[in-house]
Amino acid sequence: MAIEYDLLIVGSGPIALSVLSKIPHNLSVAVVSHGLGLGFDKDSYGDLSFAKMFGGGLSGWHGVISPNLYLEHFPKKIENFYEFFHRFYPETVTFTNSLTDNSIYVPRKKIACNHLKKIFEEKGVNLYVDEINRLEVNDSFATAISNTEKFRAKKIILAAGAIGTAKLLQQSDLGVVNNYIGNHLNGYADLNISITQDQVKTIFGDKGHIKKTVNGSILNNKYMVYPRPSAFDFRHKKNLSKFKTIYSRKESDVIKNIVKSLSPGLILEAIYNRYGYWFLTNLANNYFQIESNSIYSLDKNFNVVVDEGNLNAYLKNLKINNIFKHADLSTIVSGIHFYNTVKPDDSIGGATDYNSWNKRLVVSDSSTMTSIGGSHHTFSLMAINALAIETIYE
Amino acid sequence: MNKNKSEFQQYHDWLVTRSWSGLLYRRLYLYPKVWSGIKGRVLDVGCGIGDFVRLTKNAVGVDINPFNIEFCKKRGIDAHLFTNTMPFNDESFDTVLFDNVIEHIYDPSKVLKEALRVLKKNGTLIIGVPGLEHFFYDQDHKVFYAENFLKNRFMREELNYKSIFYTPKNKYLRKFFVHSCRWVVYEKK
Repeated sequence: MAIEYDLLIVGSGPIALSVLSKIPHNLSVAVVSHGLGLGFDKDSYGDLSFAKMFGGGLSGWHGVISPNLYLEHFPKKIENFYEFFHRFYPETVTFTNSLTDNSIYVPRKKIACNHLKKIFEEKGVNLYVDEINRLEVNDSFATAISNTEKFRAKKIILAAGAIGTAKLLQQSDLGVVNNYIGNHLNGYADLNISITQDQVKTIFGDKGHIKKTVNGSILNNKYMVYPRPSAFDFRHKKNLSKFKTIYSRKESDVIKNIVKSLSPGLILEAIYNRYGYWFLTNLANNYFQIESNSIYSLDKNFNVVVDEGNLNAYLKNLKINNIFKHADLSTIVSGIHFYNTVKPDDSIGGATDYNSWNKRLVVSDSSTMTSIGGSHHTFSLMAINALAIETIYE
Repeated sequence: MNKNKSEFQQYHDWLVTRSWSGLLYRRLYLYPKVWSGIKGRVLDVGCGIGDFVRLTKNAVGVDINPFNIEFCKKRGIDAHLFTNTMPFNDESFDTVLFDNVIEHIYDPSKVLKEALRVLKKNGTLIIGVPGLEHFFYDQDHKVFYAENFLKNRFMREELNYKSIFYTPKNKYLRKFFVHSCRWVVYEKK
């Protein structure tokens, strides 16, 4: 007999947090979290299980942000970052000089845990410590299945992280997702960009893959790039040259050395912690110029709704004045479009197939964004998720 | 309920080596609190090594661990093995107590259903579960039940929520007690 709820959230990271903050009180809700965190398993990614449950990847990445970097880019408005941060994490952010003189240490783990605890109690959310291995979806409900139990819900929000989510979807044999889900971890370059096929070839060689976006109307005259896994597989030396081509700075030599000795997950972490902002700004400024000013969200049927030209107003409403616009758009596209509507290997019209199953299953993610783009990626994705949930349950 | 013999043995061995301070805590603080909520004939579901049954008048224990039951019987404690059904007649108890039991079971509906069978109409059901502060102290904890869920949603068709109490009550003290719990009292409809 299945354990039944109105809404089940798989994962207890930042997305669970933002979703829980917006669910109405009249829903019965449970969170299932297996406790290892990050979705990494030791065999394939080394010992990255430090994040544990609660807080997920957001708490796992060390939370060291150089204020100099922010000052460099947001010289007059650094306080807005904290304002935004406190919207989701109202507890005190502590400052310390113990790591380096210029770092702010944000104890995300503790903050995330405390905030989750509050929400669990306030909303009457139960927590199951279990690992989901498989999902089944039909017209009436979705079922999450672990080794011993079945959890049945009217809707399931899959927020198990970059690797955990992809793994679970692959194991679930949901058909349509299998075609591209393996590329998920490499899907972070899923930006809305102005770029030509020639440019793509220059960057990614034959591995580069360029497609028009869904229905063509969402992002008129824009394209998305889906690098194939090997394009970002740092384990292979031949890819390093491409990497160098993309990021032609001396730091690539440093990264090359990291690559020689560490696993991909640790590389991403190292890049984020040491070069996060450099990585993002180069990525954005040099190659991925985003010109759109639209908001992307989901309607009740999980179709993407485009609010043309209102991104700035929306961000202002959220009091996010200085979040990198590049980051917000790429986050939205990657986090929600990517799973729920975009079918990368198909061209126009691919969204239809997805909507047949994602009425019962919403897939969202932030940890890849955290590792690559920085915390504002995650924060903006949290905001978008919160908005989506409000729309769904309004 | 899927524990194999060695797990039962291990858990029993752990129970019998529990500290004297823990027993004193139970004897002098916890049980008096629970006693204030119980009435008549009492069934302790998941009685362990029978501390509560031994110290409570008119109490009977059931447990799924045969080592615990054997231990209790040797000490003259009225405890019975519970596999699928409880060896009691319908509506034969005034109070049923779950002292930190349901958080160890993913789906406690079967055992709750059986407990309600042996509980008299208008009888008292007391469920004690850990707070989230210390939920992770025990590796075997599987489900955290939110207080609002227990108050407003838990078995609404069969039970009326009556009251809640905490051990300890003070929210600052609760942070320091490893086994701080909330106890929800229901009345069978």
